[in-house]
Amino acid sequence: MTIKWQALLEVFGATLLVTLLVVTLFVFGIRALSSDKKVPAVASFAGCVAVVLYGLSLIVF
Amino acid sequence: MDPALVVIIVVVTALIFDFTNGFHDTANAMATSIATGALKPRTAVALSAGLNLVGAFLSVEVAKTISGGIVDDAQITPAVIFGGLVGAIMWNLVTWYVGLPSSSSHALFGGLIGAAWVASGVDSIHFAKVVDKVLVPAVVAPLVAGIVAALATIVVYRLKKSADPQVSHTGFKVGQVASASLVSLAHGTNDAQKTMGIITLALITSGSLAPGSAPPTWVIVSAGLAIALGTYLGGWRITHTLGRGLTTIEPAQGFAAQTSTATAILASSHLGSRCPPRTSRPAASWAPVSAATGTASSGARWARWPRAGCSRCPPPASSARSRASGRPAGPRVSSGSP
Repeated sequence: MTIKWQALLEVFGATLLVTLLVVTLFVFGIRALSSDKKVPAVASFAGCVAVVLYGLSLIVF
Repeated sequence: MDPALVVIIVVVTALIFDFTNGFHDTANAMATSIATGALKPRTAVALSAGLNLVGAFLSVEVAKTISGGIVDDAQITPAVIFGGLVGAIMWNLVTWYVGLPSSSSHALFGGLIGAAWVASGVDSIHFAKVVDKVLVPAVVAPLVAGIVAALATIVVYRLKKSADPQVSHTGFKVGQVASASLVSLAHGTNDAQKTMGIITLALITSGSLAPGSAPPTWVIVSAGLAIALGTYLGGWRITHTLGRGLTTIEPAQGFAAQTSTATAILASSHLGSRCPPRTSRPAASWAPVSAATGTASSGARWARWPRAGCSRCPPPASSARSRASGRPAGPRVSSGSP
């Protein structure tokens, strides 16, 4: 009986990196919206969407 | 009794379990969104049901794990699976009635293991896989989601300081809808598959399917519909407990909590062939509370943790800080600027 520590660390690392990336991009989008900078806002939110869609594509395909 | 009739009874019972699983798990995705007012309850529940149905079609890896790993399918019969299902359904109904957000998945695993042990002896259980696929995920999933949610909340609160409060409040409510939808989708890929796995196991043990088979399409469709229907019709009691009982949540915290929950489930689904820490209930219970502790003024109510099925986890040190702060016990759901 062995616990797969490396795989657990991979899940933790992937979860941490992706979550921080998404929330950071989203907050940057909100900050840009607050300053009426529409292009950076759209770019930030589009980045969030791209990360999510890429993640889902990894699971589906 | 006709063996075919037994299989039919097991399939129907498994779908009833799936339905009760949906009753429980609306709260996984939607509690924080309802608590912050990002979604109206009826809209939240309908959205969650639809996305659970969609999620059921995304993957069958978890179903394969259940149908081919936890117990020796050569040593058990459909009647044994029926026994395990009845135990899991009773647990689900009782915990739903008292508003306890327990893990339906672990009730199912426990029921199946207990029934197989009594019927076919201890040799029918693959304990190494039980540890690898049930016990370790039960501990790891809430810790991963909790730690990541706390860190994400710290990052969000630091970065949003310079944002306009009104824009920030509205923006995070929209973000919560998106992240809650992701949790529902992740839940569908995860929990609906457990019923698929049980039905597939029953079909294998009755000789209708070859060992190692993937779930047939009709099993995937029926399991997806059952959990979606259960999600739509139930969930109010636990939604109340998770959304307002354990902690007080602001939209930014809810966004961070739900994003970490969805990412934890989906990341483990993708990397699950090597390590499957898939258990959405504990992850969804831990993440909102960790999101609350990630702010300067924690609103977590540690006294209610035993009701959330988290009594096995030691409370973080910040619980002492929370009690010492003398924060009022009533709900502090944000209605204005965060």
